[in-house]
Amino acid sequence: MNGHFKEMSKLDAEEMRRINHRKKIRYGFIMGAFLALLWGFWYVPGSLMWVIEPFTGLYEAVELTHGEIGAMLVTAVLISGANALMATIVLLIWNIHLGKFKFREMKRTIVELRAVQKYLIAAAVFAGPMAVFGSYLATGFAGAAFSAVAALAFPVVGTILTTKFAGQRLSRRAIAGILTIVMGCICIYVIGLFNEIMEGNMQPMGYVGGLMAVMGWGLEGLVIAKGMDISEPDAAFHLKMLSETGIWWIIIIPILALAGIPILEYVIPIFTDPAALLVVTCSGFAFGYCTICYYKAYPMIGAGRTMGLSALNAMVATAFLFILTGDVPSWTVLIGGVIVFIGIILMFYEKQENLESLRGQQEAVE
Amino acid sequence: MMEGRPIKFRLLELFNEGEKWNYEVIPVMQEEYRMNSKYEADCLNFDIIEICTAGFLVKTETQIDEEGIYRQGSLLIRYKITQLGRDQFETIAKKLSKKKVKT
Repeated sequence: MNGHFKEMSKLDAEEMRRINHRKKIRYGFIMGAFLALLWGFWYVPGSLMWVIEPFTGLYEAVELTHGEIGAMLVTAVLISGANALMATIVLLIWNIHLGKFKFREMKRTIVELRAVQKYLIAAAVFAGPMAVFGSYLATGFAGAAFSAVAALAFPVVGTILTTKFAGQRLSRRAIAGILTIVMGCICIYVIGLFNEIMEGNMQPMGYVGGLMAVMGWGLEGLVIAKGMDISEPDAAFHLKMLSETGIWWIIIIPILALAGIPILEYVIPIFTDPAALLVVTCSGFAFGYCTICYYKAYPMIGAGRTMGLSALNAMVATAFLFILTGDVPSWTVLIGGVIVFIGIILMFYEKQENLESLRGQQEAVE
Repeated sequence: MMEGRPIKFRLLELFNEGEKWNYEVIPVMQEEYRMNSKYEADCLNFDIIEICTAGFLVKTETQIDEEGIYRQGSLLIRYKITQLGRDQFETIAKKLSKKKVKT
């Protein structure tokens, strides 16, 4: 009788393990979906910042001395810096809410510079200056659609890098899913891209920018994959955002100020002008929570799937624009949407055993 | 060597010592890292799940907690380190910083 019970509970344990495993994957995918949603939403305050004071004031001031592209790059620095600072504050609130032990873990992580912290600093460099700068260069010298397409190709680069250098394995089905999603998202911008090519205004610097953007985000994916193996997500994303804020506010903005660009005059108004503060806060919230979802999805479903899902932000951004401005999306967007949907189905309904470990079947050692 | 270092460093070290159940590891970690609440215990359990998903551990046995060893009704899992986990542990062991923070 006792033996029978033992047999029963063993079966139940197997069943429960399977349920837990499914829950874990669902958690990862939900985080990925929220990531895309928040990222898409982020484009709303992200583009609003370009048309409000004090950012427009800075743009006009720099345009007089350094031309249109110089003005755009300098404004991009201030916008990225304000965004990173606000996101760091949002993450601070998040970690205060979770408890003191997260700050203790941050302290423990930050001193292990050679073992783990270097990955988080590298992530900040790749995602911050390199990718952001790259995408603005691409926008300035080639066009907005080209820049968007270049950015959306990053899951492909990221997947190649993480399978090659971080040892993560993906099934053929997952790879097909990621590629389908990226294709679908690029479809959204295809008309714009075609127009830009026809106009023939693409300059070599634009391609350099596009390459910087796609490599920046792809490399960020790689270093996060390495870093998240050995660090705790809540501590890790806060340290990454802190590093990024440091790069903008301690290195780049002071260098620009020393070079004689009047950037500092426009810093205080960001926090005193109610409209600017509201937009920057929204941007910080969206970006902060976006980062949380990114780093939570990573250890659960792996780099490739997370990046594939995050490419969905293009769809979300189009939807938000439609809701807010009534811009009816063109037919290519609808086709893109259908392709994206197929990609997600492909990725989500793969054999769950494939996700038991991100690095394929592993054997125990004695 | 890993006491007082980041949580996942210490977890890898504990599993590198030998096959262990999650309910054996969690109380050790709670004591060392002063993480005494139920929520903090869950966080530690989740960290173990994460390093297992990374491919550093494999599950060798599962059992439902009927006697309340860890928490009644929860799933108890026994883990064993993999070659990948051992390599990762050795890599970080070589790169540890000289000073350890007091937290």
